[in-house]
Amino acid sequence: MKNFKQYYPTTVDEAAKILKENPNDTYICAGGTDIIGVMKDFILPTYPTALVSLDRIPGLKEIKEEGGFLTIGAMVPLEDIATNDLIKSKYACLAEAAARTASPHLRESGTIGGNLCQMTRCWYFRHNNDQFHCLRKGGDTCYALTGDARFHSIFGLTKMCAAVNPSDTAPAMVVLDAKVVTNKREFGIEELWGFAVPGSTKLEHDEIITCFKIPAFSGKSCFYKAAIRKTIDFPIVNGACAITASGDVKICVNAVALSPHRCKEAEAVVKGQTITESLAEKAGDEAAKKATVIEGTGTTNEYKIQMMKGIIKKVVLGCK
Amino acid sequence: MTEKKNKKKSLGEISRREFLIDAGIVLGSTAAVGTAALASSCGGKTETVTSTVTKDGPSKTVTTTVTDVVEKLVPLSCTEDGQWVIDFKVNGKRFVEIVEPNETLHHLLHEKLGFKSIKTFCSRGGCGSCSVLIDGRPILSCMTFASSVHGKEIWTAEGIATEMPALIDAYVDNECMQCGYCTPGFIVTAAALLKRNSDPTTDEIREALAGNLCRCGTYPVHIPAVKEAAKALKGGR
Repeated sequence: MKNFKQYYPTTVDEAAKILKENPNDTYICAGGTDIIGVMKDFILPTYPTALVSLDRIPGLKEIKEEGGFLTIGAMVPLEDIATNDLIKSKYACLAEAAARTASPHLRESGTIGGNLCQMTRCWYFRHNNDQFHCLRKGGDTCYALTGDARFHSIFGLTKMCAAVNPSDTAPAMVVLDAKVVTNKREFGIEELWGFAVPGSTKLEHDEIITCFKIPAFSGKSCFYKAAIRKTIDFPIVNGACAITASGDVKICVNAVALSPHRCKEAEAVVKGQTITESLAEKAGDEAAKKATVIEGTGTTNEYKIQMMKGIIKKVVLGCK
Repeated sequence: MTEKKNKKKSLGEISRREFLIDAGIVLGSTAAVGTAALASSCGGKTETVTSTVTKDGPSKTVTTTVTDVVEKLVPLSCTEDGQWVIDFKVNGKRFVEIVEPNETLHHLLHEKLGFKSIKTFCSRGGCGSCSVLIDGRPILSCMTFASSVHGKEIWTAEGIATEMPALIDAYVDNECMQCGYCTPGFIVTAAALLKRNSDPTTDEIREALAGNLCRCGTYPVHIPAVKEAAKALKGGR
């Protein structure tokens, strides 16, 4: 790693001030499991000059239930979410998603905020020494469109970048209708990710997520992830479904597009119906209608459409 | 060499003079503010010490006031060069070190302090060979900045071997290693599991050890080993 400047602010305001004073190549460091890899492999075209670590800010590591909301601090390690009894009993899909993220060791240091804001795992973007100067890095080509795109996007290719959002907790947070609270504002979690290239989130440079607020949920929820190995690997496709006691349905799949993909067509199929195997299958088929395939050089991502149908079927049946 | 390094750096064993030299490097570059901070945090008798610092070019003489006994935590402070002064414990021994921002915990413990049980394998957080316990959590030292462990308590496989001999015995009895390179990582992770769960099931052991890779394929024997260790530890060993 090249050297850089490191800050350990003790309040969110202090951290935001440091970010504002250092507008170029300054990054926030939460658990560090993503940014350290990025820095070790010289992935970014310009090397980070400073890191602002949120590790020493008190109050960002709390899970509490108050005022009809479950509040999860942005710096809560994923393992704490996966093993929290309250989350396991009431927000099952989030606990399951956190439990299936990365490996046990990475979950101990990786945080929920970092997991939702991580950079993409596209292998062209992640290649050492900025070998593929792609769209996300200010170039003019998406190498996946003409190369090996087996893990790339099946939705929203009109936006040019074919990378996918690799977060496991994102679909669970979307179906649970979480709100993001930053030092500046509060908004629905679906607005967190943007198609803006090169960033993966729409957050401003000096905006820091402090916590996530999930409205009290009563109903059933389910998460499922498909990856090459059970541990360590990033998802090929993952998805979550939540059906509230009043019958509201939310289905979201991830690792299929630049940001988590809400399957509104599939939701319309499931809403108000008794869940059966054929209904769940139909929901998957509806969701896949708009999917498109990247025909790379010999390797396509066509199988991901089939996989997504299967995952939607599984998560819908899981809410039976 | 390892022993020598350990001896030199461990606060428990170094002479006061040596510690003051170390502290002098810090204080010399943080100027008056740093001096005041350290002196006020320590309490007790104060004295003026002059030490010669031969770091980064020509030697210079620094006069600082520090206390006789340092019992409280030395506060996390940044030098003019952007280095961090951190105060932490490894296997129960206290260390005060100056680290670069880009230094990983693995580099600090393995290269500088000589804890050779922490192995480099992938260096990207994928294999678990560099696991250490930080405040009871099994954490990958290659994916942790050294400066972030200030005030924390670290345990490596060396420390666990003296704390939990039953675990090591169970690992030896079950022949859990072939080349042995990944074994310290497994030991650390298994110790973390046993500290949280005194009677783990097969599935729980599998899940807890899932982040450790072994290229020799010793995976099946870790399960009886951890179960045996759990039994032995319950028996008061």
